[in-house]
Amino acid sequence: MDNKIKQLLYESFDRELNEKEKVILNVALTDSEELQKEKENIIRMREKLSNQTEQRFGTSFVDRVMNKVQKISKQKDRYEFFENIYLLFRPVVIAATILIITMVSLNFLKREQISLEGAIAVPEVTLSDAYDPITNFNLE
Amino acid sequence: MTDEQILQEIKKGNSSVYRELVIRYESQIASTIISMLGKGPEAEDIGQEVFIRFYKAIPRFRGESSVGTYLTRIAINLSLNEIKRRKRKKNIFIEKEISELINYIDDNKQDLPEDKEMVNMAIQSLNPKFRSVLVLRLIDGYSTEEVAKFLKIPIGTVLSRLSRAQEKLKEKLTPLMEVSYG
Repeated sequence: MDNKIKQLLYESFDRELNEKEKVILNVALTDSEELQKEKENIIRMREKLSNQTEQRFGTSFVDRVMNKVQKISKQKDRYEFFENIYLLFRPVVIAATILIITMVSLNFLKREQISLEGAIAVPEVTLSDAYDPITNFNLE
Repeated sequence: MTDEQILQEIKKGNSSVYRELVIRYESQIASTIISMLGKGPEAEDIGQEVFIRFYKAIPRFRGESSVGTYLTRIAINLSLNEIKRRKRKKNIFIEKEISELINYIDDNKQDLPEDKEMVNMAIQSLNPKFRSVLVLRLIDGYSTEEVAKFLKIPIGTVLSRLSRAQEKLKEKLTPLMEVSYG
């Protein structure tokens, strides 16, 4: 049997053949009893395969899936609780972060130098301030 | 309840309605997985995993494809992964010889009362790349275009694999049927 014709026969079940292919296949089918038998075998086999659909897992399959689903749902509820807390506090955290960044930037701008003291606005103490008797007296 | 209504209920937090969906699609998914892997505890484990994965994906499910298609996609991917895993463990032999299957049937004749079992065995003796197209197209009934999408291969490849798969299956089924029915 011609392999190309055989391929065409198989494909005829799964795609629309064009007119030329249809003619070639029909002529071959009329001429060859072997090909006709092959076609019948394919039809029978495909019927057998389509009967394979009604299969089932074990009897308690659905229950086992549902047990797992319930476990996941409980975990999800717990996760959602923490997620809600996170969502609730997120705006506060963002606002606080923006405020801190703004304050630090302002402090840097005011001090015109980048330092830790500048960032947190610690008063700048010069040597003369440190040894100023009035300041020292006040401190004591 | 339609699939869509069930999914809406689950999204609202009513997970118990998922049971209906599992009952509805169990047979379809079982056919896909059992045809791919054979009947047994592993097939059932994969079946459970399919439904669990889908359940977890429900919040992201937009309904672009039907629930059945989505479940089948998960089932076929997990089955192919399982075949790869088995291959690594060398528990499976690809392209089982017909003589081996005939011997098996001869030894277990009384345990093989059904055609389905025979067809299943023959399908599983196929190379996974032929098996997957055959299962999706001829058992699950998807179009060749859908099969191509599932397996991410061109339609031409689907058609040629389908022809090869049927040819091989026919070769295997004919002697099996003859042996089993005398």
